[in-house]
Amino acid sequence: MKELWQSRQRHHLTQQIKYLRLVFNDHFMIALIFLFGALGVSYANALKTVTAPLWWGAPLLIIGFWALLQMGKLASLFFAADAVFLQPQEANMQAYVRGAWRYSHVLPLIILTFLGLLAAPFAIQGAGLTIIQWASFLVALLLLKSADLSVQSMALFVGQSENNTRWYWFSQLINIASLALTIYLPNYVAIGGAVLALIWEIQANRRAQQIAQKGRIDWLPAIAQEERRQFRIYRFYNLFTDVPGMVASAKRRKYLDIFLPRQSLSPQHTFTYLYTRGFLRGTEYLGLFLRLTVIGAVILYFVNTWWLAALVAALFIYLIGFQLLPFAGQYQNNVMTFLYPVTKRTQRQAFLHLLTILLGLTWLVFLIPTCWRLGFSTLTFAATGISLLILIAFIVVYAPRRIDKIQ
Amino acid sequence: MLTVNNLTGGYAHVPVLHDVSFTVADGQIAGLIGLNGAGKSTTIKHVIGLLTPTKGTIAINDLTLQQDATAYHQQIAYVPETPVLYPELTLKEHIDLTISAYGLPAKETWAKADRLLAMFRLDNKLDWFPNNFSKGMRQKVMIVTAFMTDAQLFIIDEPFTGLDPLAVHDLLTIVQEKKAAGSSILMSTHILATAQQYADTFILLNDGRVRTQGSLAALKKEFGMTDASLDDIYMAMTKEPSAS
Repeated sequence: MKELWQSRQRHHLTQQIKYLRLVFNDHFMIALIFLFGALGVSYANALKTVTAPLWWGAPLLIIGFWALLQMGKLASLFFAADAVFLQPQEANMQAYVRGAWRYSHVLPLIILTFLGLLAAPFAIQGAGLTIIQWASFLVALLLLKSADLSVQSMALFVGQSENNTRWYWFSQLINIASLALTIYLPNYVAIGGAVLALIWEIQANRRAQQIAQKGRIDWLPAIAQEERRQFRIYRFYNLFTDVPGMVASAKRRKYLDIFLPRQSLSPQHTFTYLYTRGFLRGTEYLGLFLRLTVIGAVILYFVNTWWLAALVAALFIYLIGFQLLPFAGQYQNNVMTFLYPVTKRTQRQAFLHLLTILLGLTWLVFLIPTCWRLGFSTLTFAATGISLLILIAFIVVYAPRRIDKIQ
Repeated sequence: MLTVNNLTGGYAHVPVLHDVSFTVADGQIAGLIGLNGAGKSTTIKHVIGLLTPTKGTIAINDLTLQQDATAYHQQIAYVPETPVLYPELTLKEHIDLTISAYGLPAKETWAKADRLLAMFRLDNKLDWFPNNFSKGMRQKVMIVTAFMTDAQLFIIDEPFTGLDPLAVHDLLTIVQEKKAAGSSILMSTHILATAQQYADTFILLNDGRVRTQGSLAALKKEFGMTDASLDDIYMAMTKEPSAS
């Protein structure tokens, strides 16, 4: 079973690398560099204004990192077919589960360490912690994540679900307690919090191994959980590229029906009918559109240079448009869509129409913080004019070509 | 009327069909019969235009896909083997979308749809999403959206698997109505007893070639089996030495 885990892990890693290369494409990297640069500068500036420790610094760190601990699920890499093919092996899965447990550490530990180091200036300057306290905090954090993965691995086995709920809540209690101890205990005593985390880690790990020794895998829930986990990842990848077998899910959202256009049922409106409903009820693009528009508006609220406002607005309009483009091909693999006696041209027009409305809305929303900051002046006019030009260029020049490639 | 002439084709580098020719006349139900891998689904994919032939022509009422794709597709209604529905559309909206795509008169078509929905006991599920449907129900939705149109050619791929006996009966009723109205029906199936009972002509595919085409009487004569059922003839065909 160890070999099975290793071959799956290899296969999984090649898959991830294939997709990550597509996710971190040139455009996205440029946007990320801008974003991190802007965030870094404002973080440094904000820290300079802090003179005395902030009363909310310590609670914020505890709650923030406690929330981060919840991320990073156990990657069991089970397939639906395992319920049938691995059934005879269900009592011999310890080595496999151990491999999964080990592998699931990598990403969360890297991210937690990175964020922990990133938060260090704030912890020391903003919250007034000592280096010993913050180091204990970080050590405790990593141990608690490891314990969390042990607790998650217990849930894979038959008859553990009730037991596991108890372990889960108890572990949340320990999480908060040890993180708080490292921060609120004085200097060297703070190490006690990390020691508590260590004891808990050993305990959870031992228990997990005991269960794995005797237990049988509870296939259906374990597979369902792994599918949900992978679905979340692939949904993200799907924003950048086509993930095969990605089934879009939908929510009814009846309250959004008021935004549906009232059109006659005729061939030229067919794809508008489909795209508008798909956009408003799908689980991918509406959320993306709203998030990016809100983030853009918030950033613009802090920008008081006209050319920077133009740049940020144009960048966000481009980003949103770029991320929405794959939606043009959402129904491409549907044979019924293929059979509709509607021309490609009409379909493309329908998508461009939707794109124009959405980006236009974003542009209008961006007007509010820009006018707020810069007033009703020539500069505001210039800034919003530039982003409008980019919007038009995107829809008239860039998008049609990309859509032709997608459809 | 569907005319397939000397069709050779398949997937990019894997030729599946060799020199396939057959016709389905107006008001005729043709059964497309063959083993798994004989080329039934590939034939259907060529007819609806998902695959492009390397040789040969396919015409519906003398119109080919190359001449006018939109007008060609306007003549087809298709029920795929695996139902394909839009996860974001309700049952009612699937019907509206089909009406819209084919430019059908809304009121008359809804009247037809309502009758079919009631027949398949879907009339109280108009606001459901496809996620909430069982496989059989999804297939019924596909049947409703296909048979409420006025297509000249109905293509039904393996229609009987997954349907309950009542639905099979109802489907056969509406297929016969379309036949009476003068449409052509091409139906691939493994359920030979049903095919024998309802189809007017049979296209027997073997290894990507048409072994023979004709009515049951013609097939009996061809195989020299006077008292045979379609099942017996089919078994006889599978025992023949392969042509390729």
